[in-house]
Amino acid sequence: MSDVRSLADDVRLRAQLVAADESALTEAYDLHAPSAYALALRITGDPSWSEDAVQEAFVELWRHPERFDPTTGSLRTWLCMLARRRAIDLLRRQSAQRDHLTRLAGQAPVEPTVEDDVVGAAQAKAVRECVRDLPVLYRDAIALAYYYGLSYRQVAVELGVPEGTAKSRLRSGLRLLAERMSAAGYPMDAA
Amino acid sequence: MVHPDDLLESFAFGEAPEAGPHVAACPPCSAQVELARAAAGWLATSHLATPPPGLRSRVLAAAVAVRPSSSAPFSSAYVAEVADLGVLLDSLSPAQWSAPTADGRSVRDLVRHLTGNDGNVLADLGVAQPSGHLWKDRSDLLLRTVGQGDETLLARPVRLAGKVPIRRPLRDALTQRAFETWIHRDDIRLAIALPPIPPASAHLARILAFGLALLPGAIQAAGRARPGSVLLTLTGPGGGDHLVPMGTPASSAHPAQPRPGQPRPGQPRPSQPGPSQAGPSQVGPSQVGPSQVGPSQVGPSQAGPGRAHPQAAPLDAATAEAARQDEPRAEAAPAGDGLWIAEVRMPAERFGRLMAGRVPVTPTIAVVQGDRSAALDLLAVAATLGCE
Repeated sequence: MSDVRSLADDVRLRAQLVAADESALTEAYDLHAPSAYALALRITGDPSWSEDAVQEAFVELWRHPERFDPTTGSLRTWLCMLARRRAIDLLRRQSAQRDHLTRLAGQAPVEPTVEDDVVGAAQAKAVRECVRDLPVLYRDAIALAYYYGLSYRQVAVELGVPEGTAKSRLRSGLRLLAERMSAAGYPMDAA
Repeated sequence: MVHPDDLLESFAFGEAPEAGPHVAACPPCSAQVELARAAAGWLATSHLATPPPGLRSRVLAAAVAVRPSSSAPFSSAYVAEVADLGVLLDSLSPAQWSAPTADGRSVRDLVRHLTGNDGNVLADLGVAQPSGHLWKDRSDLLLRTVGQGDETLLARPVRLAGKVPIRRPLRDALTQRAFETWIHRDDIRLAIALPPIPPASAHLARILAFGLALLPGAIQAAGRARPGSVLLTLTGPGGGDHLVPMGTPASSAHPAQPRPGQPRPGQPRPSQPGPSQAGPSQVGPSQVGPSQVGPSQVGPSQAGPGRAHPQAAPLDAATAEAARQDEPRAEAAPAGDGLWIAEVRMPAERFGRLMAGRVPVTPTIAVVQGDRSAALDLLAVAATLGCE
């Protein structure tokens, strides 16, 4: 639990970033680049694209730090959201016709490659355990929607189920994940 | 009401911005988005991977290429206070926004007051302001403006907060904004039964130096001037020794430099506490004399928002130069007018609150030695520099 984000730290970094304090960007990078890079790597499977996604996420944060609202989530989540969006853009551009389900099925679990004492390691481990314990039907729906940015309709096509079923699986999976994280000591407002 | 049901997860994941207005106004959709956003937040951080070593420098270079950085020590106190107040305001319940403050206003009134004063600085800088009166929007804009700051911008005179219109360079006004933001943050904390919290030590020192630079002029304008200076020993975090001329028009306070082993000529420091002392000192004896402090320059003015001195006057060029210092002065120089006539010793944080008018001047507010009348005059005038 020691690595749960501090709202006060995020608000302080935001104010420093708005004032163009480069040290705040350095601090944010050192704290959160491992999460953003791992996420981009999961999405693209390509180190070069992942670097681009991470770079663009941090540059976007630097250009418009006011857009980060600490009341709606942590700075880590915000940066990962920016990196995810860019990674999905790159993926769509490079492989528009890709078979997402095939790709998903062949995706090996990404193991942590940084030391356990890195900030966020305990939290990341808790997330992996909660995700691993989700029913596989939920996991697939979440992965297609989250990692590849697919719509309900696209998820339904990929899974070969009606749209309503795809939506139900996604929502049930997300709810279950949030509940399990909360039960593990990571409340929703700490995400 | 048509709910954008198919877009809620996409919106939570950072896409489909068109769903935003509906979500903000629809509790069920907002709850669904909040849950999905939290789950996405956890998913995003499920793995960690060390980025390639060169990426860090590339990211930083790309960032400053699109928006130059600003290493601005003069704004650090204000940045910190904005952050602290932001955390506090985000935590307030609707009832707490209406809670009464000590002076009879509400928390909401105080925040509006701060917002207005931030807006005055922006207006003087010619910055177009957003509609509405959200404090966060105004403080963001002021921070961003400062972040663009070159020397020309920082030297541009802007209004200080207060009843009497006084203009000072932006770099000084930012310290005053930090001062006011701190004091009102603590006003709000007290209104909702939370204990006050002082600024970080370096930031408190900066705020005090700003106020002390203005004090001699205020003493002069208050009709309490006399020959000599008062040694103000501020103890604890943010503290230091300051020699405050008692109204000499062309003098100001700045830190005195202790010289252990070199007795002060002329007037021995009392070695035993007198009956006026309120408590034990937090600093050891120093050997500070007026010969170690040089003349400085300040005109009558005000340190904080609100109770402007009625005779406050514009600063001269030398004052402006003195105020350019980002940190309290540390250099000693020959004194102009002789010995210190009294010593006032008190915690730095308490003196800051006194300057803001939040601590009454009582006979036991500080440890006083020497000319008690001069010491109390200094404190009385310092207490008029405070916030509304």
